[in-house]
Amino acid sequence: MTDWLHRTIPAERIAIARIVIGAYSTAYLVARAASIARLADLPASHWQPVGVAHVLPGGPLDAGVVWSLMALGVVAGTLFTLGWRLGLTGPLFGGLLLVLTTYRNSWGQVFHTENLMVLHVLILAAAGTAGATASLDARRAGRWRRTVDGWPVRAMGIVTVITYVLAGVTKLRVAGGSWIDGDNLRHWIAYDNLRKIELGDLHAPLGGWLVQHAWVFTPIAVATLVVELGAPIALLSTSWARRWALAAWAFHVGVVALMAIVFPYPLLGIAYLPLLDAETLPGARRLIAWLGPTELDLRTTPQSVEVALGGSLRPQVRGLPASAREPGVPGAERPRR
Amino acid sequence: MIAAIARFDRRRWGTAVTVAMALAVSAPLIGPAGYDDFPVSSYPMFSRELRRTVDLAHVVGRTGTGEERVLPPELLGTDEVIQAYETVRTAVAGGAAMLDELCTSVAEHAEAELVEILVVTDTFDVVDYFGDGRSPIARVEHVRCATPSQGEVA
Repeated sequence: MTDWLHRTIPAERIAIARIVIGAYSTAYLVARAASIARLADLPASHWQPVGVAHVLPGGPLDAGVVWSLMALGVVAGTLFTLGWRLGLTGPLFGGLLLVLTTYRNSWGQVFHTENLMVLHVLILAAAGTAGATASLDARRAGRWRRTVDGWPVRAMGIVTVITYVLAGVTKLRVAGGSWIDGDNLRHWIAYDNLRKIELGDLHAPLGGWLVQHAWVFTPIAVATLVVELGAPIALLSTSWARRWALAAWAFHVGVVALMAIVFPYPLLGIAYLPLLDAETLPGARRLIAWLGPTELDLRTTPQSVEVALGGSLRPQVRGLPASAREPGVPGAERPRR
Repeated sequence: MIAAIARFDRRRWGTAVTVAMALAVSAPLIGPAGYDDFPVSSYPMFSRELRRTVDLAHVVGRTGTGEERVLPPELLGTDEVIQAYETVRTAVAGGAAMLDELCTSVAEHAEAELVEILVVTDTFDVVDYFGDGRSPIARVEHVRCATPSQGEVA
């Protein structure tokens, strides 16, 4: 088990995860900033703390404090995405993101659209400098790793899978086998759309139309449970991960079509990134090129080959012939400056 | 030697973080059904058994001609419709003082065309709503208050 967890992966994979998840969650904070700050205007009696908000002194935060935390979070998130002082900016951003999203969820409604994003960032934060390839840290030090310990990416994959399994198990625990007959799902889709109409929000006309056709909901309910409870197959291999991710993505597209509920993190595919060979995805190389080694770096004949040793790199082997380098992994070395 | 120790420690750290996260995220499996928190949750949305007939607490505006208007969630201090819904529900559960506070707050920011604000609980058949028109089966009115524009007219 631990061998599987720590099996090395191309360094670009974790760098892509850091850049994409970091950029997304930072942009998310920016997009939500005004709405989070406005929460301070709600009556204090509506404050229902969840998670770490239980330990916030004095309940709801002043709007000025929220804006300050937000600004700090955006700066930390940007630096984390760029890979500057990852040992510092990772934990700082992870902590601020946790606090701010927890605050947002502490007003009577847990949104569930942020849970996985926060969990992934916390894992990347705990990984510290492990994701330092294609980063300002690596550029400053002139070090490029070819492979790294794959635990952060696998931990994120495991957490992704667990969250889907939990959602499936909860349906069976709460509603029992009756959830499968589709009636409950039909009522929820109808109710959710009705509620949106009556509360002045966009609804899904397709969902409103479909609730008139009861028979459709049994296959939809079964398919939902198959995707959720079947999530562990994504850990078997990359090809299974691709198939499951596609099915889960289609499930979220269905949720948008029938309920106008947007889970942007999975809909953009970011939730599934840790399960895939991210470095092989279209555009992945281009994405990290601006922080990674240049063509010149890659062509440089290594007088000193830097070998990844956990989180640090040491000029351990000098004059190692090219044939002795790890085959098929392009991340090359760059001499120290 | 030092490098080997560093690598071993990083390995142990990675294993510990992975196990801790997996256990924390899985914890709702052995907790009460429907456990909900943040960021650890059992994701209970749409799991609870829902009857076809439901009550919905919400706020509506009424024009001078008696026409009812749906109000945007921003009038309840949020752009999230579910949060707006929870705000109304909390006020209904909280009693007269909270209802008055909510109604007055909405009325102060309502569009000029509205003359009064009502906080109500409507009962709907969720399926028929999309087939036979959008009228509620029943209504309980909790509170109503005049908007500032109505005050000016008066």
